[in-house]
Amino acid sequence: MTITNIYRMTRRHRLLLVAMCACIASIPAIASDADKASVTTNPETQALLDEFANANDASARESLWEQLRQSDRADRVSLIQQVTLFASDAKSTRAAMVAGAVIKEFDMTGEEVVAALVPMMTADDSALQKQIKGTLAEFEDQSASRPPDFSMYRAIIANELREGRDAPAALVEHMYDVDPSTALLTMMRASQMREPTKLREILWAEHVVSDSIWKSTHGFIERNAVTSQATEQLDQLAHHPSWWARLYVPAVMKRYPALKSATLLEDLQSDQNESVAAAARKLR
Amino acid sequence: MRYLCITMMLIGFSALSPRADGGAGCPFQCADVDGDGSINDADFALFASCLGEDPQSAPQCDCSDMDGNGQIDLADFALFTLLFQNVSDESPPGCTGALGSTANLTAYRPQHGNGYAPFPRTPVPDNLETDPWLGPGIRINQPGDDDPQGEDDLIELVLDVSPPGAALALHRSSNALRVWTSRTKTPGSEIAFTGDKTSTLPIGPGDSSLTLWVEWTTGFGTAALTVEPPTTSVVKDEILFHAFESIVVALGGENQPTSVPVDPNHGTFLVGIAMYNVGFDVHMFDEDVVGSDGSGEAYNTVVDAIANRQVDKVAIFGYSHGGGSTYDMADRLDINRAGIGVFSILYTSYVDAVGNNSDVDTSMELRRPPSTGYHLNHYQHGSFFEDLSLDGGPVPNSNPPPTGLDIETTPWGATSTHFEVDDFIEVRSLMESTIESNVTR
Repeated sequence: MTITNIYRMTRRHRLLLVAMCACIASIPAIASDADKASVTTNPETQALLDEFANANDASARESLWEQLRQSDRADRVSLIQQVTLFASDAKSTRAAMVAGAVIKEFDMTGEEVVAALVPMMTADDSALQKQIKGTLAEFEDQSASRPPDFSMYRAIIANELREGRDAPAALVEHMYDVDPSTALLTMMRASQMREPTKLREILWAEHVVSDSIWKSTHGFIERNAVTSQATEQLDQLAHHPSWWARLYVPAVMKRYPALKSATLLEDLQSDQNESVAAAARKLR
Repeated sequence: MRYLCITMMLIGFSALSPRADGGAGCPFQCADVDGDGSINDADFALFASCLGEDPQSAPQCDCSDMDGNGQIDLADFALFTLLFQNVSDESPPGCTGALGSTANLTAYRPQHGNGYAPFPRTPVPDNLETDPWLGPGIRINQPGDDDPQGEDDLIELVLDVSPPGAALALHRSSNALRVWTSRTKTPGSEIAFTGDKTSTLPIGPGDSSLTLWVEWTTGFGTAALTVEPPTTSVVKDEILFHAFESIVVALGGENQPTSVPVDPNHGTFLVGIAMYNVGFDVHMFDEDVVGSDGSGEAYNTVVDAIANRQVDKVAIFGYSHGGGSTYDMADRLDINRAGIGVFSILYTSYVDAVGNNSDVDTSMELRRPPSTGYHLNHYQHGSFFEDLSLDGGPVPNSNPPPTGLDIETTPWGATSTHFEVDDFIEVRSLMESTIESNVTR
């Protein structure tokens, strides 16, 4: 196979090739925390999913489905990961919806899906990241009138922190991307903060900023206006000792551009926490 | 023979005295003696009756003294014969007999962002260009309007002329219209109107085409741009614009990104393009741009149109997950009305709508979009191994009454699956006709 041929291959085929090479070289697919992002494709499962998505008749699909069910019994976490990888490279509506069908028909719980997908959240693959976020949304249960439910994430993060490890940055960043306010309050609880004055500091800041957003959303102030109190609270959060409190600032500014402050973003670009600094840099 | 007779008659009238201001009061093109815009037999009859008359004492003959020498004589007749059944860009008393130029205006359908995608660059056909509904639509462009990807509310207008470098001007029927030579309204690129007419357009000596950008500044209605010679009002071509009062949003299904050319199996976008081509302001999106809370690019586009472009009518339709997103967007728009402005959701449509809480949501979307005036619903029902049980379903208070159309009860859709329901011509046609009858452009 020439280099040119490799470039002509589809992304899935390239992934398969990489996976085969990995097997040959006896490189472990998931080794350590640092390697968590390298969840690789399982060629057999991918082929099965592909066949299922493209089968021409219902009876063929039924037989293939039974094989998928065997995979599920053998390793449920792996199947969730594999269908997510598969859907991220889907070329048709049917292929894209196979992940949903598997999750629904095999009664996969939110806890199971979240646990399977969180280790994949640091993979440097934008299509995969989009698919992971799109899958997690199913269990966040957000609507226009209902904020997301991050309780499953809170449990994971709290556990990591209790064990003395860092919170999984990619998961935290995902929460802030979905809903900065709910993310801030989730992190406040997960971080084991116990001092009432410190808790009230966070609660008040979130309340004041959200109040400004609410007033502008519903026409009590101009559509792109910000209350001076919200500006003050953002300034305080930008200098908060906890990185997850500082992360709220670029996250909420991204979602509500009217809140943007060039000065605060400039300060945060050089934040010691990479999640905060990167979020600020993206907004500049 | 007719002209020979007239020539003979002229000999008898050659002794009239000259007049300094001959023809100065004639506002029409040379030889268009009756001013009806064409040079034909009627003009000839009038011209013949004026031959030998003193234009000073016979004001009705003013337009017959084409060279302005104070006589209506053989020289004028010679000019008349040159121009008969042609056009002139000159008017008396400056007639030289030069034939007028020809000009054609072509307007394009609206831009999106920094170009036309997800639509192809689409000219409005000649037979529709003066239609008040099917002709070119134009967005009201107001200060404060968000144009994150560059100004896209201006309509491209191409003027083709013959011969190259022809001297021509534009006339507008309303000062709501402004015209620019740059797409982004670069300072200095506006073409000024004096009253409602420009001076000679900046067509280079060897140029046979000029691209202009038309802006509509305020208020609803229709307004025309015509191209005509600088000194007369002979209309060589006309474009009638209608200002958009509505916005139409089309949302594809999962893994149905927009593309140019459109994928023929993406029925939602085929409907979107069909409506775009008949003068609606259509915006097409991959449903992924709509979050489960209804927020995102599609929502922002609608809010911007209402808040900054005087739009007050909204239509949204989608297939599969795009149907779920139709609900989510309508819900968010309805919840946030107080801060958006006055608007009505006149029309919504589901095609086998699946809830769009997430990319893996497989639930049926059975809720009627909040506050919609008219809801069209198409659905089918399949088995898991046919179409992964991806189904829409009956939605209360929908059309056809009472809950929409189960297409599997029709001869044409009896064996359909989720993956093809959006492609049936019957489904698309009903969507198009119901948008047409429920949504003002």
